[in-house]
Amino acid sequence: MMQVKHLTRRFGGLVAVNGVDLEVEEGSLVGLIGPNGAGKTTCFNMLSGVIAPSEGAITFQGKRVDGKKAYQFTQLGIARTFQNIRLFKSLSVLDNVKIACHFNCGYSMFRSFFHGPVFQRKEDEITEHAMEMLKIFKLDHDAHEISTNLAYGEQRRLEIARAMATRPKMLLLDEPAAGMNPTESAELMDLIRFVREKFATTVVLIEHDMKFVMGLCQQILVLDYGTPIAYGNPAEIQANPKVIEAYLGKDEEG
Amino acid sequence: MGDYLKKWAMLVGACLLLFVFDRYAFWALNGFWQNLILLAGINMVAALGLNLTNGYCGQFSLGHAGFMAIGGYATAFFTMMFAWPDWMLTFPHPEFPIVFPISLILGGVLAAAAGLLVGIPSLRLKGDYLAIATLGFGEIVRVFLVNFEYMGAARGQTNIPQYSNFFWVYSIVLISTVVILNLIRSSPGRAIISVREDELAAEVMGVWTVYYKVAAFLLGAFFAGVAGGLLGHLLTILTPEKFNFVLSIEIVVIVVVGGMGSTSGVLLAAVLLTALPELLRFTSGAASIPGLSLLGEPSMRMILYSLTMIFLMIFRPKGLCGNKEMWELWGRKGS
Amino acid sequence: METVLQVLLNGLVLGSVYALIALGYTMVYGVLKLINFAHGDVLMLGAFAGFYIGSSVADSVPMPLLVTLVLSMVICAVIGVTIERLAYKPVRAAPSLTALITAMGVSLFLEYTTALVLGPTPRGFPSEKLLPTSTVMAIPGLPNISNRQLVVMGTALALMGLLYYIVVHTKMGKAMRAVSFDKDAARLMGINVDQVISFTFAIGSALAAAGGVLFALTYGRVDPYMGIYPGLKAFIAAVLGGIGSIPGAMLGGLLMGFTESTASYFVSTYRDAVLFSVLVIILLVRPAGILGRGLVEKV
Repeated sequence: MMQVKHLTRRFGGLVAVNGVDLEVEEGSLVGLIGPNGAGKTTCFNMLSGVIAPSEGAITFQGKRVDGKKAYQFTQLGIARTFQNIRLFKSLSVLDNVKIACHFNCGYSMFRSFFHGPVFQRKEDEITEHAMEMLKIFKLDHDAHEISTNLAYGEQRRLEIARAMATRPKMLLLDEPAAGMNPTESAELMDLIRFVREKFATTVVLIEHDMKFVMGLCQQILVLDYGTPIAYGNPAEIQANPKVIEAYLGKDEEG
Repeated sequence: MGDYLKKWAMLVGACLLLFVFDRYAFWALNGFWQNLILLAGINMVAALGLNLTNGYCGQFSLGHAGFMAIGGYATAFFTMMFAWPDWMLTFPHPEFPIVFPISLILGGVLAAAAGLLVGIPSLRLKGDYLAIATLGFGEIVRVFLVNFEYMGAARGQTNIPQYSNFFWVYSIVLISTVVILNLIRSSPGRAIISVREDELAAEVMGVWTVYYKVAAFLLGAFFAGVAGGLLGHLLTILTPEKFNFVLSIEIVVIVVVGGMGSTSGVLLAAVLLTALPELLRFTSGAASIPGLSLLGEPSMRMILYSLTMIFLMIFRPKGLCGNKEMWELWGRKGS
Repeated sequence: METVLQVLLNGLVLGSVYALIALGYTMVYGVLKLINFAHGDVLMLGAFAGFYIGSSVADSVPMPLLVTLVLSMVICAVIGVTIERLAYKPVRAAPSLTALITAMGVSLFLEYTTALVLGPTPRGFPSEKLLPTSTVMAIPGLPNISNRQLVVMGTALALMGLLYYIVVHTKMGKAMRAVSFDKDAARLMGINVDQVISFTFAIGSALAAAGGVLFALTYGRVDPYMGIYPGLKAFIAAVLGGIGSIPGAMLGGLLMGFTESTASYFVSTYRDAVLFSVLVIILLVRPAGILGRGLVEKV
């Protein structure tokens, strides 16, 4: 589904991501791990078009996408969430999701001045789709609440719901379990599995919580200082001496 | 479907009522009140436009006077100098000929074209830097008008026909309000708001933020241009000095005091802030009360105006209405 | 050749005054992230203070210009701190636009209060009494340099040097830099943030007052609205250099001075248009000003 070849990003003299190759199969669940500052988020930013790679190529469903803008990535079917939740803070929960439906809204700005019949029909469709998303993520009771009034876990769910409303083929989750307690993150794992099956979405995620990654992902890519050091299934990664040295070795004590 | 037609029929009906009021009642008011009411309406149109750029899209612009100037001069050009066929100058009536609305639209379109030009820097600049670049734009327009011999240069364009009346001003206020509220309650409107809320998140949700930022500038400039056209045809004279950056600031103040992103709040603030200095002028007539004569001093009016601004910001930092509409605020209190 | 040098000289003199005023904008922006729109009006108050002090001391004290300058600076420092305490402190936590509108309100308030109390008509500044003009250098082929130009430039440069010393070498200067870097962290480190902000306003307003006196000295008049355009131009200078950056303000001030003197020589009627065009063009190339830090957002 997505092929990444020799993805590299430099910031001035610093090489944040160095020559990442990755092949994401359709329907798979890939984890991206590595110590702090390993370049995971930079990698994600490139995969979602937020920043352009310095070198390398990203191919999505057979098309070269690197060099396109973030909104084009989303319109092609790659949605993402953020490490530090970025909701549209002063808007309602429903409006947050509706904005994600915007590029599929099916009418022009000109029509929106008049609120004619076509507008009304399309707008009803958007509301319906957005409410459906909220229902799936159990947020429909708070549809008209201002999004910052939600509890932390709900805000995380809303961010995923919002991303799913863009009808993505591939979902990038940047530390979805950050700040969650074990119960919440177990629920989140179930939710991610459910989303993947229900929408047939490919999922790539960054996570620090090893239990979370190992329990959920089929394939894992490990980055250290921007360089990929291992790729494989959870068992292989756990047995890989390089990974243990760079990452798990320190983690085992804690 | 039926609902939609009914709404627009109601709008047309309301405009007709305004026309009747204009013909049969408005003239009965004295000149001072007439002027005040018309000026308030023109400020409403200008502020509604700026609210789109500043309030809804979050692109802080200090160049609104520049757009108003372009619209004002362009409209005056079209009503005065353009070779319209003769019948258009008298149809349907010499006091409100068809050329006026056409010229207003053309003036608005030219201002919008300038808005497109200014919208492009907004793609690179943020916050204070954008504010200062747009302020620069406004000043550039003003300096060019000072050197624009064809329309009076620094002396200004005089003898502009006084076409702006209650009917035109308030019909345009009404239509602008409806169109803007419609836009804001639509998917493109939500896209514009998402840029203000979090540009990056909007982009990642598939919103082409560049397009909506430029669109917000362009639409804001259009309304500013129309307001400028109305202003010129009310005052019958336009000078470049009228459009200095103090005017931009006055419109910004209306938007901020009303509440950025609150259409009804902005309308209310336009009335209050237009009326306040003028009403204070009124008190100079009642000079028999000791101390009150001081209130009529021209600088005293501006002092009270500025104090109002400061106290409003201290005690209601998000403006009168925040980013809510008045009816939403009332609704919440009621429930 | 002579005209080129003349234009450069004028630019340098004007630019050093703009730089002085721009410093006030940039320092306040540094610690409060506020565009102090009233800065130009503090300049005007400084010029008026200079007008009254200068008129009364001109014949009675030695070095009347220095006395005038220092006293106006002290008066404006007090005014600046008062403005901050009364108007800006209550809106410190509010969105930045709220603070900006407050500053605009203060600006109008100062202008019109001055117009009401002191009268709106311009008055002659006692430039001749404070500093009789003479030509210091009249070499054929080179532009004439007057003592007034030298004094204006010298004062501006000396004050900038003093400021630089304060910011880099004193404890208060370090505290100022700490606050502008991260207000909350500075507070946790035991820095009295309120005091630092007051100090910044005092220094910035004093510099504005000096700028006002120098302006009045050059143009020979004071009026309640005289601060608007110098203030605006100095603000642009600060933005050009990268607002928040002290060397940036100095550089931006000089750049504004040169642009203005060049433009007034070649296309005087379009002077301000050229000025603002340069501003817009530079911002398009360097969106955060020449020496400004980039605005890269962390995701």
